[in-house]
Amino acid sequence: MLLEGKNLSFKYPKGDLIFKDVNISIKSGEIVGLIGRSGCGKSTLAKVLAGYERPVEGQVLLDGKEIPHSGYNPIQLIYQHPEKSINPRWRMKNVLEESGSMDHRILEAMGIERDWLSRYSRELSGGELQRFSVARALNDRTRFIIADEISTMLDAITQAQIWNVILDYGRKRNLGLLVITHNLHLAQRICTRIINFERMDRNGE
Amino acid sequence: MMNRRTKSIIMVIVTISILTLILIGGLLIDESSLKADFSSKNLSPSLDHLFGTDWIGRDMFLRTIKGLSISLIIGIVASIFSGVIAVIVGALAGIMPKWVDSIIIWLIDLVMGIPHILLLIIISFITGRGFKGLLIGIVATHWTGLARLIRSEVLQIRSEFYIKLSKKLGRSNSYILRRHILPHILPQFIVSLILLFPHAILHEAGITFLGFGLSPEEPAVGIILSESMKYLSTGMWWLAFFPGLSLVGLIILFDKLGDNVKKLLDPYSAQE
Repeated sequence: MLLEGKNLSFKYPKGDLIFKDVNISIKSGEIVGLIGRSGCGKSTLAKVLAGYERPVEGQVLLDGKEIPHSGYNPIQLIYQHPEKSINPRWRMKNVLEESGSMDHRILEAMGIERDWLSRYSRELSGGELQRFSVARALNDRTRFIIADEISTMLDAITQAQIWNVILDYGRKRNLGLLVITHNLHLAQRICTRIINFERMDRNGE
Repeated sequence: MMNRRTKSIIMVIVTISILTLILIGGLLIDESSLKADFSSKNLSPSLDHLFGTDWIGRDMFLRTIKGLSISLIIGIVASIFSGVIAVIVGALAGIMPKWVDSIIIWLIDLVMGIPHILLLIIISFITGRGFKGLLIGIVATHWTGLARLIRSEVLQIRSEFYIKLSKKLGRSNSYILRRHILPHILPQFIVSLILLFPHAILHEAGITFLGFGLSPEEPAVGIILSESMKYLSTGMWWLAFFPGLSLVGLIILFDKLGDNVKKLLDPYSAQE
């Protein structure tokens, strides 16, 4: 499968253009790194690609077709703030049930302990929550994963653990991965291709 | 040693029991037990007549309980109607386009801007006074604060990332409403609803005291208080003291109930 962003431009209702005429494409099985300095629009691009924001101009296409607005989105965004992507009134069990990802092998590989499932999000640390965020996105129906700074606030061991699971899962299911990060070493280590968002020539890479 | 949660649960059960007792007690007291009995008029409080008797020999304890139960019924009915209006209006303001929101906010400010008691008197008077007029008046003036609260809650939660994410996980609007939005609003709503009771009851008593509410035949607390004004100067202090004190007690009960329910529903105190 092919995920394409064509001539994407975006601005918030009251504001300047955040980016203009961006073209990006990711194939299944590819791991694309997207780097760039803070505030240059990487996260906004992630939201546009995952359908959270509508581009002012341009389209996001999956195999040449527009992505339906309702139903499970095959492009899943893992957000940089796990505490904001989890309902504080829910137990973690419910969080996983919402997407239907209760694969115990993945939970185990993620290092999610059984008794965390009955806890609320405030009873877990950021790193522990991020594992749930990731586990939730690793789902049969997911074709592409956009990981927006998902490991920035984690310690090195946890980072390695989470990335191993994602990469392993991605390889098995032939997922396309867009990795947004500040960490050039991480990008060089895991990505098959790296795009510098600021130096991106607007017609590809 | 009890933890705070158990204590709260016990408090809630005790308060609800007292309120139910007053309500049932009031319903069981009929006309015949409130009859004039001239052989026992103007008695000060004693074991036979806990709150004393009035100038035509009616037992003040029974009258007070009856009055409190009338207040309770008005409080409950008025709060429920106000709550329903508040949910509908508040949710509409939170979900509908901007101009609907502006109109609703304007309306809330308008109702809130006029002193409650004045608006209540006017509405109650226009709609024929008595039980019905009073109820319409209280409902029409008490929905605003709650509506504003619900509107802001809906607006706030609608922009939460986990709501948008739920949509991307293929969840329907009704699922999001049921599982995310309602559980978020419900605790706030219930607590505010309980705290609306004393408001409604005090306004009912106030309006009735001023003579714009319930008719003099009904032994509402407001009526009891306004009637006893004439007899206070003759030294019959118990006519106003005990009914007034009971009314204050009832208000405090609701306040405590609201506090304890809040402690129980608030997830941040769930572990205490």
